[in-house]
Amino acid sequence: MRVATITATATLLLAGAVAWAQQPVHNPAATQPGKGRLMMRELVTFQHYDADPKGLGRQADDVVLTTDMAYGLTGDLVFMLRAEYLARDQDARGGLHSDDDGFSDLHIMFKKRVWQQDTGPTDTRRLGLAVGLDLPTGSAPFGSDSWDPMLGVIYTEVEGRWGFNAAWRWKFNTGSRPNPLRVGGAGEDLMMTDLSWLYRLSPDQFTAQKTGAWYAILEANGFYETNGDMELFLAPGIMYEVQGWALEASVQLPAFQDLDHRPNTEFRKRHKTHPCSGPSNFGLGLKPVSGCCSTDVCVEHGTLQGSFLPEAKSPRSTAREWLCR
Amino acid sequence: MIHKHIIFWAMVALAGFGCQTTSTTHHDHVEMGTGVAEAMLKDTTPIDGPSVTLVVHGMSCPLCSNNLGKTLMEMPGVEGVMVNLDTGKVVVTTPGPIKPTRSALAGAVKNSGFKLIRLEEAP
Repeated sequence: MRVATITATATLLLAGAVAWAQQPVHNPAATQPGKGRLMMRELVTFQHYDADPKGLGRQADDVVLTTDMAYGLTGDLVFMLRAEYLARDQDARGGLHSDDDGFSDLHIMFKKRVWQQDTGPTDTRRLGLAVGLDLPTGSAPFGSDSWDPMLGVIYTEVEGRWGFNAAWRWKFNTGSRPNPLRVGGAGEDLMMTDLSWLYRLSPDQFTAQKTGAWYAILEANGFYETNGDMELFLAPGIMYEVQGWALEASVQLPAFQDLDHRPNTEFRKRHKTHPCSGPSNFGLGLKPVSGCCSTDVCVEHGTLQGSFLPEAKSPRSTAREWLCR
Repeated sequence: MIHKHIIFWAMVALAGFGCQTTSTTHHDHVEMGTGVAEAMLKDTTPIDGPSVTLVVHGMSCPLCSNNLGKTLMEMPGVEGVMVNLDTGKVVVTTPGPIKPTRSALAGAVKNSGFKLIRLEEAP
């Protein structure tokens, strides 16, 4: 058993999305766009891996462009799509270097609200079911070459100034390409468990003129893979939300890690921005009927463990396998 | 290996207990609102007057209310929408000759994922 070092994740999120109102940074919520409403979000992620424990001096940088879309098919059924494009720059001691870029697998999902109880003007309880699928559309080394279904249950509750979200998701991995640097990439089924609490700091009461609100957030995000790897993160944060956009920031701290099949995360930093001024921010030619676009910028740092270091073959393949095993 | 699983799930369970702190209120409004909304969905007569107030439950945040506001603004005859989240009142301004029907207003609330409690028309 290897116990990970204390790690930290810093997340700064500027978000604008009706569909993800009251949704924390990492925890999905049982909220969604109304019928006929389209919501788009752009996410740019920068990931950096270093601090090789073997002293081989290996480093890698990923740039990930993610597009999220949510479309309300009915008042309680939404179709969601996620596409990712990655560019990877890898270096290792001895002048080894490689560059790769391409799409990862396309992820589609349907989310159905199956129960709802609105108990006050701002008070609600909602339960949703999610069914998703990763399509084998990605290119090597980022695609999985497999059809990976996903099932999930999502619950959201808001009572006065308090909010609570819980989500449980299970991804059936049918043969994904091993990628121990990313959670769920080791070719095993992945269970994701998320809990989060929100408290409205201000205002005490909404009015027709006072529609902006500050929220304090605390999240617990758990990951368990059927090979025994597990992680639990705690993420305090803060969010500012108005009718057209939201600003959200959080720091994610791993409370528990036990990873035997992929590198422990020593430090992970993520920045996200979601400008929401209008369609011009999309860059995709899609007009948001409700909500607005967003752009996330993320930075991640990972620590490599010795068990994942491959045998040196050629200078180019060495760096690639180091990231993909 | 077993003790690692126990530790992990114990932490998740302990975190989950924190959510058991909320109270339940306004259940009578929900029951009444359900009946009102169902009746309103069948009422195809247009509203009277220059404005109408929808009392809506479940708009838990500013972005949530934006979902309904945009839907209402797309309806013919609607020129303004003002939401008060604290009271759940959504004032819809319709100064022109074209007026939305009660069923259309109720449908907009339903399709936005909220509960219509009642509809108050200006005298």
